[in-house]
Amino acid sequence: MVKKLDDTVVISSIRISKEMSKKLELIAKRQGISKTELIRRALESYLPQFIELRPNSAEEVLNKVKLRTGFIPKIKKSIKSIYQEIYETENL
Amino acid sequence: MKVALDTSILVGFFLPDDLIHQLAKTVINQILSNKIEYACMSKINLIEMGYIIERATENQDYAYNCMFSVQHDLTIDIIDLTWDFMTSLAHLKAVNPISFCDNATLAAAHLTRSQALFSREKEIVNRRFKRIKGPEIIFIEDFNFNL
Repeated sequence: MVKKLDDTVVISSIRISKEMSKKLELIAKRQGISKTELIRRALESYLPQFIELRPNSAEEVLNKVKLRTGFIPKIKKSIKSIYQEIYETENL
Repeated sequence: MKVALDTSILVGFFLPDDLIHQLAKTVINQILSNKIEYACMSKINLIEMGYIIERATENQDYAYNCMFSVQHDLTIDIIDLTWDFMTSLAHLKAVNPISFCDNATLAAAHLTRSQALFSREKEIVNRRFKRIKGPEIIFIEDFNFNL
């Protein structure tokens, strides 16, 4: 019987070494799953680290910026005085 | 509700010591949860935000990361320097006695049929707001958060 594939499923073929294939076969056998299922599970646990999801809250956004910079710096010059510089001194 | 964000809103958001930080955080939360249905900011204002944050913190890396965050983390539409935007901004600057960047906020609001959201922190500008032509201006300090 030919199983009809869901349209969200695609077939990918990959080249791997004989050694890796043997390892896959062994682990799949031990876990009682197919090699395909084992590869799928391995990818599912490996890929999320590369997928950055959009933050859901303002706090998450600030945490991301903090993480990228290492810290959130303190204000050394007041915003009001910067606006004054821009409008009065620099005349922008 | 549709808003065009002025530089001061995002400066306030990214600087926890700023006077309007909590208000700006609420606005960002409402944007992220779609309570504010549309928010935009012009590229001119994004640049202004970057240099103000760098001047305030003396930290170029932090300013860069804040600009990156607006572009990639937030669901804010970044308005390009299109012909329509440039001609609107030129006209608004010609008739309004406020800074080029503040006029860029108005141009973004005008193009997207939004309200321009400013902070009263800009007192110098605030004194002149009565004579401003263009889209409706609202202030974050008076903002109705019960949308």
